[in-house]
Amino acid sequence: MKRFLILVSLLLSPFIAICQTVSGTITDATTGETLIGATILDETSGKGTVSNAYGRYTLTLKEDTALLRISYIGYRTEHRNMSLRGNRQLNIALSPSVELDEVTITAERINSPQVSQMSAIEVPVEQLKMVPVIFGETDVLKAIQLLPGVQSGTEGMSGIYVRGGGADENLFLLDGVPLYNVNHLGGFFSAFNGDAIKNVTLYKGSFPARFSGRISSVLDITTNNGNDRSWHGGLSVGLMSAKVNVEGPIIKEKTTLSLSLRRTYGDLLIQPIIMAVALSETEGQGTANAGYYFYDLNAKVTHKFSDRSRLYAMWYSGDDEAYMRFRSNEQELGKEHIKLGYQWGNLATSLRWNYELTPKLFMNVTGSFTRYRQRLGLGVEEEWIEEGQLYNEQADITLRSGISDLTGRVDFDYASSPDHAVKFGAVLTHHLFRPQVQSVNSSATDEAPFSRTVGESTVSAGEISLYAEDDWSLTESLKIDGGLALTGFLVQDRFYPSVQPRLSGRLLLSDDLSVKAGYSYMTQYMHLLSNSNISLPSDLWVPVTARIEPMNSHQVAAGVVYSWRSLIDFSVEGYYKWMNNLLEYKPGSTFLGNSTGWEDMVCMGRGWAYGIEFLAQKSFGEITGWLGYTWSRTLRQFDSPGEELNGGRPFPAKYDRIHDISIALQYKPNNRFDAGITWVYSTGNTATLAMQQIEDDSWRGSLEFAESRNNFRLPAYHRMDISVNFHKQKKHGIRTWNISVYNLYNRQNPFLIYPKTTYSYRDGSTYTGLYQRSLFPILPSVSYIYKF
Amino acid sequence: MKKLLIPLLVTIGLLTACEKQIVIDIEDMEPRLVVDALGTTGAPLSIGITESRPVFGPHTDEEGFPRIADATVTLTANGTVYNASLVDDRYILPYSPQGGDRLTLQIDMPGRPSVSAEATVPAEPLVGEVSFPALDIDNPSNALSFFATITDRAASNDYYYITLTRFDTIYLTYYSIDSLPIQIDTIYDSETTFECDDPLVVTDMNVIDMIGEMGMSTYYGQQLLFNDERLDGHTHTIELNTYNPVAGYYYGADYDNYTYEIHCTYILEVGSVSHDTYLYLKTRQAARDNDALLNLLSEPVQVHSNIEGGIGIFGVSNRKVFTHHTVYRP
Repeated sequence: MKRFLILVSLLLSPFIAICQTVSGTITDATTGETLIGATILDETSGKGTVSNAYGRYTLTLKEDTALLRISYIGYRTEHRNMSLRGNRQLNIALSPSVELDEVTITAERINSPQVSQMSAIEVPVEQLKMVPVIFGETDVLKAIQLLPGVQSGTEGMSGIYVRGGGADENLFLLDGVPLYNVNHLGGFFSAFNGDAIKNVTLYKGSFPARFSGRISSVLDITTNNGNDRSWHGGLSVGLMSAKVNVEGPIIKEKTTLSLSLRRTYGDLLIQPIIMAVALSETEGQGTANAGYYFYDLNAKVTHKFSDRSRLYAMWYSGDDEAYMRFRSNEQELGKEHIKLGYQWGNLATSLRWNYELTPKLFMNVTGSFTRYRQRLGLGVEEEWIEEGQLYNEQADITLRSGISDLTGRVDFDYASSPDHAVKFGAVLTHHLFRPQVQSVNSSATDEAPFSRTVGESTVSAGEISLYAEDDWSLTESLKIDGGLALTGFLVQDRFYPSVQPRLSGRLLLSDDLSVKAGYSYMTQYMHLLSNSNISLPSDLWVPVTARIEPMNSHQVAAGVVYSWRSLIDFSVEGYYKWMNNLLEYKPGSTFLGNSTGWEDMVCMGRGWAYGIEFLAQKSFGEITGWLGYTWSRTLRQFDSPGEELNGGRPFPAKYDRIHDISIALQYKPNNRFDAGITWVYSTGNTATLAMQQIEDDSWRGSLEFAESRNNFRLPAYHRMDISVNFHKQKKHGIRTWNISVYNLYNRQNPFLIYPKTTYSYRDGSTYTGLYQRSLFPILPSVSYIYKF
Repeated sequence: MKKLLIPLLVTIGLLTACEKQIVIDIEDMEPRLVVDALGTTGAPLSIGITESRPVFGPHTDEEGFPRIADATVTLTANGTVYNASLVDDRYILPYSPQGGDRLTLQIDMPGRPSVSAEATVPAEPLVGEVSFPALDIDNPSNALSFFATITDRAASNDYYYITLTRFDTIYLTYYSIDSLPIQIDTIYDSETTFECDDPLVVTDMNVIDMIGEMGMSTYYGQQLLFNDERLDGHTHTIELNTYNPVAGYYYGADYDNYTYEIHCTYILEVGSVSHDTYLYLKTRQAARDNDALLNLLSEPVQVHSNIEGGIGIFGVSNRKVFTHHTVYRP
């Protein structure tokens, strides 16, 4: 008993030390926007912390006095000398350090020796906005593809593949709410409007315990709260889309609104052409309408009850629609009306309440709802007169599917002592999967109406997660961020529990040099069914079942971070990841329009990935940017008896790219001009390609034979993009012209490969060659931006 | 409006995809030996050897798959060596497979690397009661139900197939105008298709791999191929249904000057196959069903091979054959 009490005392000792606490919020002095990741350091004790996702910080100190240094990239550093007799509330407003005529800019640092978190990337949002992208559309996901350890999928797509994981193994959080489909237009654009984003953090491994549910990465995106002092906004018009955003105080310094809207308008431009063709083809008796568009709406209202209490209401909706409508009214043939529509999109909303229970204990209560759904509809209606009688026939077919989550969570930040930053909480989610509903309705004159609906059933599942983590400073140089997540998933009367330890450590060898290492175990309870090489809206989320067990991964990583005179940061990180219960589709399987019985079309196996990532980042000066290089391998093995792929032997994954290089440079000599250039190179994707034909007694007479799965490697992918921005101060704001060129040297990168046979009329011979089709040649674009 | 259309047309023009040929390593296109060595118990082992041809490159209309007639084919079965002789483009081995035999196939050709393969003849399937239905020619839409009871061996991975075939012989007598009988005999070899909706074996396509057309929960085809994941160690009766009317049905009573008898023979075959043979049959069927390996909307198919240094399959099935003969006289 005595030993037990001693042990308990030792365990609790960090939490019962007598200390003073300084807490508060770090904001931008001009906009009131909270700053995430600002550093608060007591120069007397050397203890420090960073502001959390809500700009809040808590620093617990043993000393009676403190000399606080508050710094944030791009802002003037503030100092506060204060005596600590009891807990103190200290809100700091930092002023931006970059004035219009300054020639030196400071970029955000992706990684630094001081940060204890392993395999995490603080994505430099402001720099990303200077990265040239397709159609001049700022896209966070595409910019993230330029970082080491993150690979893109197919040309132009915004899907990401992190450290050998699949596209469905990434958790995308928008203000803490998961988004299930982050693609517009088949993946050419992401769902994240760059104008609405404040902060982006990507975790590739050593995941903090507060994150769970995906095995490869977490992308945590925080949106702007809005200016609480005055109204501002912006307008952007490009080749593909237009964007508008406004932000400002509803009640000054109390309640803010941030609103961003983006819409493509290709459908509006092409409409006159379609109408002209329809009129011409029907001799003026028919009309047609067809097109495609998507839109995003981000809205956020923040209300500050007091320094200790804030309320956030977030709304995101983004929908895509492809449609075709034809209507004719010909005297001889009668009326005809055909309509085809395909809509898909996300809705995510949350209500969040921050409350500082005590200076050391910060609480965050969130209720959220997220939904992804798709609908394909085809309707035909005909009307005609025959022998004086009016006849009518109509039929429509509808396919619907989707997933929705209702989540409640509570999170706590507890700064128990100067050496501990504890987070703990609980998450409860109700998932509702609707695999696919097909309904058919028809009616006709003199016939009974017909109506039938199949697949109405839904799959309901519950998920629970309890977590605790502690960022523990054992000594001034040694920090450990350890945690444990306990998760469980209940589906079809089966409960899948999971105990997930997480550990990340940093040993600071000098102010400029640190060694880091980490381990994490992750479990994923859902899969994305996809039957194609591109991201289609028909891809469908399905839960694990009594037969299909959850995916899981173990990942170890270790690395070194070195900062050369605080000008250039170098990091080298190696990782090894084991993945279990991965799904691959059986040979010849296709899921188009068929999700029923999907369990029968997949087989389960394992995979492993390993690699080394190198990053050099220059954060200061007129020229900033980074060089990233990744050497990696990603392999799969499916050897269950009778379900083997590749004869049970290991094979490279589709996105097994051995070499991956990315260079991103930004040049900003003054505030009137800036430019960006990127170059990417990666080993080509793999594909299963039959090289031989063998005799077969089927009707075709031959079969194609591939030596092994993913036996063929496509040509390497490389591309250079540039962009320039010309800014000019106008009477009411700043005008920017953006000119960018995608694929500057017109590299024909493979998007699709296929065999093609040509026939020679001269000698009657044929020739079969392997061909590739490229998607984007050199692609210039221009956009106009006005910010006030 | 014209101003708006210009950037749109430029964009569409630039988006026009470019096509380019990809150079393929010539080594990958060297012809390979293809071995077709699927045998069964109760019959001599027959082996066909051909050459593959590259998918890519020039082809002519007359091009086929060259038969290899100068190979030396030897089979070692449980330590005994058998030499094959060439008969009608196939190599015939004087060996009759038995369950449990361990086989090594060696094929040597002058100027070419040797190819080889190994296989073990699986044990005979434990088939219990088999029942055949009575013919019901007057009601052809009624299902004819066949039952086969299989006992799976525990603690081993077993693979099975079932086929059902039918032979009809119709003894037709035609009475001419002078009432003299003229007898005509016709034999129909029917490719019988059957249905199976056994929930244990068919709804779970992960366990039962079908060769034939697939419905959502009903198999419809000519051969059922499955593994024992769900049957492991159990006895199970599988029901097969066929709706095919016997050919004689079409000789109806409308023709007063005909009389006929139908002699119908159903053959139900239950066989055990090796793991390699199972994978080969399964992937071959998937390749037959798949129009292109690079089809964007379906997963690629890789036909299984167990031939070292070549392509193809070497495997022997161990089968039990059940025959049912019945005569119908209207």
